[in-house]
Amino acid sequence: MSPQVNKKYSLHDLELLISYFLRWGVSFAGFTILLGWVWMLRQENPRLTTFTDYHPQPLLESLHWAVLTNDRPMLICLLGLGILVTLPVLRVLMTAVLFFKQKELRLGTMALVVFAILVASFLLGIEI
Amino acid sequence: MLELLLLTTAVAAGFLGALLGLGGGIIVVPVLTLFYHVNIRYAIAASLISVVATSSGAAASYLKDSLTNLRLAVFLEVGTVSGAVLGFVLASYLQAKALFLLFGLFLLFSGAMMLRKRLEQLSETSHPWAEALKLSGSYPERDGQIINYKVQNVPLGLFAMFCAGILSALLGIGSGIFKVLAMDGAMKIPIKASSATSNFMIGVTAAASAGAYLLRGDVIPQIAAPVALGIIVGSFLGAKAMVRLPALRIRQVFVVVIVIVSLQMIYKGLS
Repeated sequence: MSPQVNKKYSLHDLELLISYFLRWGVSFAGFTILLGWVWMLRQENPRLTTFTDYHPQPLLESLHWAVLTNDRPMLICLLGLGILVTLPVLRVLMTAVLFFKQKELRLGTMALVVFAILVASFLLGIEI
Repeated sequence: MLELLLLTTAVAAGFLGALLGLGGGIIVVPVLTLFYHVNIRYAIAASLISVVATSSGAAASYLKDSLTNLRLAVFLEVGTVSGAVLGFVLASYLQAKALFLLFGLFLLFSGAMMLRKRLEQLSETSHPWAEALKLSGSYPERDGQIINYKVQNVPLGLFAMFCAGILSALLGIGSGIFKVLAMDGAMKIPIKASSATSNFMIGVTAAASAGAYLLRGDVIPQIAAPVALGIIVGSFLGAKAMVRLPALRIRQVFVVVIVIVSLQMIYKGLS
């Protein structure tokens, strides 16, 4: 197999790997969110009209409160949402590692830069 | 039960979004704010969660079909993600009225874009950056024919992605229309490859601000969970139905609805 064909084959392998990762990740996160939400519905009946005003409670506070009150549906729902949002970030990291393995240094570095910006953007949510 | 009604609405939004080629987010934000009177910041955050979910799901299929240009996606993601960070910061300082106004204007733009005829213009040459980074690509057609394409206007495309990232974080949308417009219009990438690559990037772009919104507390599980679940189901059904339904005629009919809703959003922004 010529190096060109071998490289093309590797890139397709990489695409397939990321594809499986995303498919399973979304399914797992979706199931977790569904479980938490349905459980939440059975426990309480929150009205959407209470969300007309904007008073955000930071995630860390919500988690702390949910642990203290043993609010398992909320914890499961937040876990699902967390997994879902983290999926693309992990996908970028995975892409970076795989590009480096293919000796694609420039693209690997770019993927790492994207990963760093993503991590920084998450931290902004705590700061602002 | 209002929550189940919200779930049903999200299914319909996802279905329509897929059918119209707009994505569920652009439909669900006006519905949440105008009909359910949810604060626009919560609506935007919930919508972004659904954008991450649908994009990641669709990206998996496109990758498997070798339609996505992974190298180009990684390069352009530098622009979209940087834009999303700026969009998140800007959104923190903008008043809700400004968000309504911006959303209304973007919805109007999207309505106009729905009617545009997309012309395939393949480029014969590559931009020097595309040459250096080997961004040109190829994909297989259904009949097995391999389509090779080159990439033009890379700096302009990168700047457009930066703007798309800002819009995504500000308005809670995937801004796929903007991305595809830049890729097939300016960068001369074939429609199939630009749609697939755009979809692949949307998840990462949305995650940049969705993560920040989640940590700040803008993502309310009681809203985000049914919206995300509904849009996942609706988008899946919409993509299946698109093959059987007269999608072009439906687009023409719904442009009217979109214009009305966008005017309502603009009015709310100005009032």
